[in-house]
Amino acid sequence: MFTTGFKLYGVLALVGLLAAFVQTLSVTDEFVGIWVYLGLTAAAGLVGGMVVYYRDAGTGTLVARQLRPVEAESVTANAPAVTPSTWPLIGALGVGITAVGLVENPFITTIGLAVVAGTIVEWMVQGWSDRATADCRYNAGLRGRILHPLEFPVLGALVAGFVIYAFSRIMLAINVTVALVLFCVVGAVILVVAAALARLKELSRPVLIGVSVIGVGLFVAAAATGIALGPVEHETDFVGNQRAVAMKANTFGTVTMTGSELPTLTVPKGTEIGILVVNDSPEPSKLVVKGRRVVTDAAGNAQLVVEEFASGELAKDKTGYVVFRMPRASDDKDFKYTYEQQVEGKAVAAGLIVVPS
Amino acid sequence: MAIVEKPPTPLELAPAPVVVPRQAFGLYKRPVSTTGWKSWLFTVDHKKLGIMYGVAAFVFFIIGGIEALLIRLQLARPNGTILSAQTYNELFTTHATTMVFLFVMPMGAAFWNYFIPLQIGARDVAFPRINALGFWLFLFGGLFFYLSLFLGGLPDCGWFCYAPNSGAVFSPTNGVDFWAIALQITGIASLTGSINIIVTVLNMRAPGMTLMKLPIFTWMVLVVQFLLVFAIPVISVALFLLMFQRVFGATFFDAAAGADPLLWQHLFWIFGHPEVYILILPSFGIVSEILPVFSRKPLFGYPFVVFSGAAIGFMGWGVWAHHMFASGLGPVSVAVFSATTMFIAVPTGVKIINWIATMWGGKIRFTTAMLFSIGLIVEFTIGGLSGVTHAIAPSDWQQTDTYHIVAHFHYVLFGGAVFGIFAGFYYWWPKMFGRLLDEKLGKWNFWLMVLGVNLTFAPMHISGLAGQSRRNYIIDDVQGPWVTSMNLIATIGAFVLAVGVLIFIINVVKTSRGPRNAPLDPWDARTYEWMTTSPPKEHNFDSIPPVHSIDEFFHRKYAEDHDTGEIRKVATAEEIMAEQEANADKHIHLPSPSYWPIVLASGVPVIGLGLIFSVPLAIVGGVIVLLGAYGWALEPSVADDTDFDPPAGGPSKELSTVG
Amino acid sequence: MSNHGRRAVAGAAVAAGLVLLAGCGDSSPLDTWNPKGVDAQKIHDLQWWVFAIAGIVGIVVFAVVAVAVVKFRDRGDDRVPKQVHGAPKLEVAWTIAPAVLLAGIAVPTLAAVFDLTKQDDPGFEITVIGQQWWWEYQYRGSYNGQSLDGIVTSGEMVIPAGVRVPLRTTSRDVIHSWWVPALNGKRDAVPNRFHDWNIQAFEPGDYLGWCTEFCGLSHANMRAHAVALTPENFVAWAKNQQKPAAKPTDPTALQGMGVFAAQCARCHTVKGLTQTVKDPTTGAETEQPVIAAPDQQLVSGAAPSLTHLMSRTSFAGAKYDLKKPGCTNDSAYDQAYVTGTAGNCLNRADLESWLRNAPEMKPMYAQLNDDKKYRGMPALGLSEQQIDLLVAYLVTLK
Repeated sequence: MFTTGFKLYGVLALVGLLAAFVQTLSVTDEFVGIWVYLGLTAAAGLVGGMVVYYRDAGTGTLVARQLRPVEAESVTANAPAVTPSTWPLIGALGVGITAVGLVENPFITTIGLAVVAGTIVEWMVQGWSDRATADCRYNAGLRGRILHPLEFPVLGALVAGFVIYAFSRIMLAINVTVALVLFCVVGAVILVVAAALARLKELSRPVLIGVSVIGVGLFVAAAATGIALGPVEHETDFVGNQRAVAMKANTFGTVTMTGSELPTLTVPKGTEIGILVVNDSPEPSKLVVKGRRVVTDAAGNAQLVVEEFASGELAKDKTGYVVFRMPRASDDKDFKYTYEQQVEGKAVAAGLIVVPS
Repeated sequence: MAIVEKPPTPLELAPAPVVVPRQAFGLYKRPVSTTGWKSWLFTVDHKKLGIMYGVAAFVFFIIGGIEALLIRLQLARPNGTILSAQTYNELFTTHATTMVFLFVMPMGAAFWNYFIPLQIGARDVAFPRINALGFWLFLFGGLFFYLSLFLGGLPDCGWFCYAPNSGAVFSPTNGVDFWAIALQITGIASLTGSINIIVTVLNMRAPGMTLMKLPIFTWMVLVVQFLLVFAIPVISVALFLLMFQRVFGATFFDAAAGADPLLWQHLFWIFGHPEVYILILPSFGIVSEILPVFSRKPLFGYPFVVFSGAAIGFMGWGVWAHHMFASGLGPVSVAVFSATTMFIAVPTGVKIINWIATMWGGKIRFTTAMLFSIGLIVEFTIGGLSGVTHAIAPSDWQQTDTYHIVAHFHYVLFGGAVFGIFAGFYYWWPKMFGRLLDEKLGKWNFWLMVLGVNLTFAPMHISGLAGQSRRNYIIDDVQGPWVTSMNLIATIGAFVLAVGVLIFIINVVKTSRGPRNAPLDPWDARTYEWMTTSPPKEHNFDSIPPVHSIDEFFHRKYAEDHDTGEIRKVATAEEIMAEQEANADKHIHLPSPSYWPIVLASGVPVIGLGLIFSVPLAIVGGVIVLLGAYGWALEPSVADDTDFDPPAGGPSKELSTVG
Repeated sequence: MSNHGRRAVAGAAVAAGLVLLAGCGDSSPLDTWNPKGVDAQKIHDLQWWVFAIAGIVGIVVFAVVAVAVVKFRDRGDDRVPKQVHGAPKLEVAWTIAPAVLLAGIAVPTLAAVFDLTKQDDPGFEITVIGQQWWWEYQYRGSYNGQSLDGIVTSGEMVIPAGVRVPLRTTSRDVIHSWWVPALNGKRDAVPNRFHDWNIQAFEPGDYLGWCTEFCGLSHANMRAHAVALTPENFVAWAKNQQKPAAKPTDPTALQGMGVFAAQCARCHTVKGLTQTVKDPTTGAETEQPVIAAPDQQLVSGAAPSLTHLMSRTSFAGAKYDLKKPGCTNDSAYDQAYVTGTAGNCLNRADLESWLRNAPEMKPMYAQLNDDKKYRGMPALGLSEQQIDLLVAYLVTLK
């Protein structure tokens, strides 16, 4: 019943149906896509049905009805050995994905076309190798000799890409401490598994498959969770003085916001200045540095434009960081470099920044 | 008229065809030359590859040496005018890069490619085509590096090429790009080669050769391969980051974008420190082979020497920041690395003591190989002890980036690695080429080199402590007479060294003109590789002798009477050889030569040029590499009729899965 | 074949080295074994005996090798020596012994690392900033009641003798390293980082320094001086540094000031330099301070401040002397230093050559890079007359 032709068209129909269903979930006003998919489903269903009825209804019957009776044995004996194939299925999937992509997103079309291209190549070589000699095993080896150099790198790249992407989603979604723990745990797991594999020469296949499936499943689940959670926000508050210690060499100085006047900072020009900001005042505040930046306009003239650098919004007793660079000395009587503590956008305390020349 | 369909004729199943691989892919036949230039270009024979590695590395040694002589000429007198500042900066960059990456590492590869299979009783390495690929990648990488001379200028950032100086703003010419890509290419060679050797040593040993019966050279090289496997990826990552910054505008090391320039230093030195152990351990291995032979005693404390080699390899990962003591790491990091650096002197010291103990109580013959080995012990001790003084971090705050450091590493590299290499030349030349290098010229070679090394680098200890800073294109009177006078002496010493090397070249030329009459066992050696002809046959061993102990060859020649302790000779090398030939294997399968390693390797520098100049070129290079890879994968696993001894009944080759 | 000769050469080299080191003396201004400041002294106290131990170990090793090669050389007999494979207990011992020795060396070393990192607080600090190919020093704080805020010099870092001054070292472009061997080890100047360490000189004097991290073309020409003055002289020096440059009275110097404002002030700061600016709408003329904009001209974004050029004794990244040789009076060095360079002591020849064609005097990048900036001082193409006027102005910058 599930012969080649039916598989092809059946899957196509299913894909169309599924796509239509997904489309209904995501779209509220644009229905053209749904009609396209349903049309695809109908067409595929029709053709598939015809195929089933006319061609796949058992060779014997058809031969008996349509052709001159021939020795059935010789017919079947003369049929070359055909290996069972999943390529029709995948090809149909590829066509379906291409169709989806045409409606949704060109990127998906590309994927679909890639799948179709791959199917064509594989299917062709499969067919050719099936007819090369009568020895099934040799044919398989032949197919392998030609296609393995293509399949393995592509598969490897896909798997590597998937692993890297998944890993990156996981790493983006966790904070520093969890990342540390994760690395240690993963390393330990790899070590334990490798040791076990090395010692147990004959691991039963089901156990091996089971462990692999669970492992891959966990990994994919973690990646999905990572994607769902999204990247973790940059911390504007530091756990203890962890970050402060790590950034000690990069820190020019510390400023404590108390709600009253800020001290004068003297910073060298032209170097990156990093200031650790501690909020000692009751309101959530941020430190804003008002400096200047050199901008070259279209005519090639250099202009100085005011530029603000701000730390993140810091709750009470939290520490933050602000980085700025002053290109010019502060001798200009028209402009003073200042910095201020801002609560809800309004300055409550200010201080001077001196850039010696 | 009705259309009459012909009845379908019953098909006859054709008889199964004889499966002959070569007929399947006629395009991809393997080359078959055994003589001439084609036999060298497409060879996968580890011995030919070893010789090619050696020749290429030696040519780079001469080039690097000439660069050094030019540097020394410039520094002989204050305010020298022989080289401009730009040229000087280029020369010290290329000198160091050439010596480290294009001489010492490949020369080590020459020795281990040639001798590892011989020492473990294999007929070739595990992946012969990858072995060939490694050589061609090294050669093309080295040529690519020097191509920069004609395409925009040699690199001038120093062999360590610190960021941000390596960025596009501060090094706008292409020199740094050539440096980075050349190192990437040679890095691929080292990495693939290391996997190859590890698999070979772990899987292809002669029957009975357990790991603790391995010849010591093989052990040291095995440690080196593990170091390479973990260190090369680090430098590759660093170079990728640098190339992405320079070619695609990334900001990994861009201070203006907020990066911490120390990242480059950490990445480079995490590679760089294991790298120096990669440079020295093969020479340690060579010397550990030579000292027992010419002392007529086994290596003292073989297990300790093995474990100290592994310990050096392991501990070498924990000391990298001693190159960065003055970089502004905090006191905790500095203190920790100071301590670890001090302790890495322990396994090295153990080796030195064990070598001396090998000589002690022995019967020492002062052949040139032995002289170089003893020279290594002395010179490396000097270098190692000055290294201990650098481990004292506050002292290093004065010494780092001065000529005191230059003195240290030249003692350990020249007096250590290079002396070991020359010892290997003199020791193994008869085995490789069937001729003995002239001993008289060899002694001149040795003494001139010893004099040269000490005359060149000992004064640098003093000029460094007197405050001479490194990487300065001039010396100045204001630095004081100790700096200026020591530099003059060092220049004289450099030319003495050059004469010593010249004498070696004369020795080689003279020897090559002489008759190929070296005996099978000229040194009364101890290890497995001597159980071959001189030079070895293409298949190395007629039959693989089984192993019963360390120094297998020695124990076949000599029997020890356990009661009296007397040692008698029971067999000569010729007798052992004859026995081996009498039991020759009936069917010896050797790996066939292949076009594809050199084809693939030729595409890689094209990718490099494309990255620097134009992307379409890189795509062309990529296509060449891809075609090379597919040719490699699709070629038949054996050439026609290259089996040494085809079995009776005609060819019946099997599709093998490893090419 | 005896190897006595080789042992002698090697041993003698090491021993001679040690002896020579001890006798290095003052003829080497960059000598690392001649401490003149407390930090260098601490380093020296730690290192000399480690070198001695290393020397002794070396001599012992050479001696043993020499004995071995002489005693156990092949005398032509047929004896095959006893095939000793090892002595595990002995080997363990000679693994542990060096480890113990090194542990002994490690303890004072680690203590010294932390000790040298601690900073004192004399009430002021100096920020040392490196760029291609010169050093800048910015002062913050006060000393003995004299404010040091806003003092910016280059080439020479002036400190009061006997005071352990906290330094913060950073860079504006690539990695450099500031090093005055007589006073302390070195510390790298890394962009985006501030490294805190110290400098101290026991006695007043001029201590030579060098950049010791490869920083490009003229790395060899990037030098420094640490000048230690008596506390009184230091206060006098600081007081002078706080004053802006006075407007010169001499007409030639005034003309030179004009040339300076037109040519040099694009990059070099002179505090107190003003120029007359006409307001386009009212026509009124006011004196406006000239603010240098090196961030537009130079990759590093800074050029040496020349406000008190004549108070220094060197220029061009401390490569060239401002004073003619023979003009520095070592015995009254710091007194003369405070007086500054003047009149016939000025090294006019080098100064004029510098103004004529700086890249020829010191290799620098005289061409604009892709961002239209220089690295180092370009050749300005000044006429001889302009150079004379400029020198006349520069000598007024005391």
